[in-house]
Amino acid sequence: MKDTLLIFRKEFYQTFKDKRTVFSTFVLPVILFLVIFQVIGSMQTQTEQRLQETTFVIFTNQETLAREVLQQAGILFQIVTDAPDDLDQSIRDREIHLAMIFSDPTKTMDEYIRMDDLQIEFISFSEQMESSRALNHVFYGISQLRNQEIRSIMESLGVNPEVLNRPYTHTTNIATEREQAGNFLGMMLPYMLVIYLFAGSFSLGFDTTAGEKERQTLTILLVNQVSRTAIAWGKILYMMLANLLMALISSVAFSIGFSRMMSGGSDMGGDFMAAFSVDLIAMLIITVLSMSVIVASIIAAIGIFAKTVKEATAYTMPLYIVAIIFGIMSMQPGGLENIPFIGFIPLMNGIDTLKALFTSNVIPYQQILQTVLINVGVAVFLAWVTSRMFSNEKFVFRTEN
Amino acid sequence: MIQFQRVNKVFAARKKSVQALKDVSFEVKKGEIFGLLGPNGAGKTTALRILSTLLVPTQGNVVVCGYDTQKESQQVRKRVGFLSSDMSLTGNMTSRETLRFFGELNHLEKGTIEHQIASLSQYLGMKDFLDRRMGTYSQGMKQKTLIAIALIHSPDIIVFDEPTNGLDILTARTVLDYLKDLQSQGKTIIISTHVMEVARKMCDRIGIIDHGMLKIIGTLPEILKKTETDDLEDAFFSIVKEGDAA
Repeated sequence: MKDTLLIFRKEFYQTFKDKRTVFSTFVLPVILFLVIFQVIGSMQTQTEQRLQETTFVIFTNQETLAREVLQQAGILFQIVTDAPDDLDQSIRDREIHLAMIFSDPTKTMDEYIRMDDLQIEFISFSEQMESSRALNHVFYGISQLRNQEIRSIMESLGVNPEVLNRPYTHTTNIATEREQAGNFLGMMLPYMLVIYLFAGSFSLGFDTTAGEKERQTLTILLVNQVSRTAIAWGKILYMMLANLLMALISSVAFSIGFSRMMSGGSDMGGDFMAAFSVDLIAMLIITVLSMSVIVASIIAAIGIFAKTVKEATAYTMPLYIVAIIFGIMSMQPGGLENIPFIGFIPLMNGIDTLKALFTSNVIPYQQILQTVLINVGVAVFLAWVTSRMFSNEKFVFRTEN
Repeated sequence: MIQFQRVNKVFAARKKSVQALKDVSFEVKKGEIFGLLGPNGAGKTTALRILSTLLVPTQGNVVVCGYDTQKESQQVRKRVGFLSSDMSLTGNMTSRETLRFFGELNHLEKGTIEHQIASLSQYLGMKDFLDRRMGTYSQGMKQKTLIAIALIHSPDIIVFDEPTNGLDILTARTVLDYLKDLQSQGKTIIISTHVMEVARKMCDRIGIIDHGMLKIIGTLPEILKKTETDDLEDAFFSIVKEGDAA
């Protein structure tokens, strides 16, 4: 055990002494999450503000009717009646945001609503935000006019137009703030964690196994008075804790960053942080730790089996892709429910448990226990396989023969 | 002190197996410098790796200080310091930190570790770079650090595979002088080399190995007499050519 801790300490010390590794592995993801969400949030705000201040340029062949619709839409607008040479091109060039062509310019809006053979044609450019937004606003304006007309028809027929609003409805959402935020986190976090658990292993885990073989630095350890099992466990322990640290830091950064984005970048948490309670955080750490253990043991086994870091990465990629697919499936409501025995599939059971952890009203202790036992059990077996490989020259010296 | 007893080593590959050692037997006595001389791929490194417990013989035994390298590898590693020219050092740790780590790994007391670091760094001329990160080291500095790692636990037997490979003439001289000094302290030393001059100057006895077979073993005069040549280089070529012709 002492030797295992020595190896672990040395690996950790070496990693944390390298400022570039610490920055790129532990600090950069935090900065990226905070900056990316901040940028996305402020871009959304700015775009929305710009659209609200935009004066939409509308081409029409009937100014009075167009004005009627646009006033109902409640937007700033400018009407153009001189037909451009190429209308489509003018819309593409953003000179005009929307064209509104009335099939018979002599008719009134009442007639357009009442008669079957009249229509309004719209020409927009869906890839341009202003054009799409102008179309939406105009549709809203038309629906307002339509409602007014229907009401007046009903009144003239002696029918109370209020029936259009009946039955009256009232909705009460009983989901707590924690549940609402938890549902989102349950959708996003398992996916993010899987990515970060593997990303950490690719950089740190393979460096300490296949990388050491490649650089010929492993031999120095092997000729000293330390058992191969201690070396294997020391490295697995290091990978496990480094992965856990990276995954947790990234999760917290992701949650804070997203929370800031949702709240317009104005405060540090708001309702979003309500998803985290002390017991949930403890269970989150335990579940992620069990996932980290299994990833570390897989990476250690592959790392010592492979000749080079490149080969190790190639071996791991299919597993990584499967884990990402499971992560993506977990983002769909009920996405993992149809997978048989998911609770018994190492690592994937962690994704399912994390989802349950955030979306259930009560903490699923039994599911967490099962996940931890299965993951740790499989990890111990893989660690034993790894230590056997460390003791076997065919694997340790695979680079040479 | 060291006995190779009919050692065979086969590296099994998918298409073709390679026999790296064929029935190799020899003994190294306490306090002598023994040199394994041979061309590249002759089996020198394989023999030394078996001795240092990194590889396991396919057949035969290697006994070090009465301990079998396969069955009592921990006891063997306690008594052997191994250095190979294909070992490398990288990373952000300093020599001092690395030596402390290997001292602890060899279960030495803290006081002993510091004493060993002081004396090894003094002798090998490491004081200028002892507290610098290894990533900044020259080849010579790395080699000196590797030697210090191999010797941190004061092993009785020192196994150096191509000890002067890649070193400049001054560093190579320091290393060879140090080996002589270690011999005077009663240490047993085995080196492998393909440099005739190193073998001629350093070794009490020499074994010439080629195609995995130990062709000849003895003191320099004994080898010259057996091969009817005037110097070690001629003796070496006559043995290697004989092997190629066969």
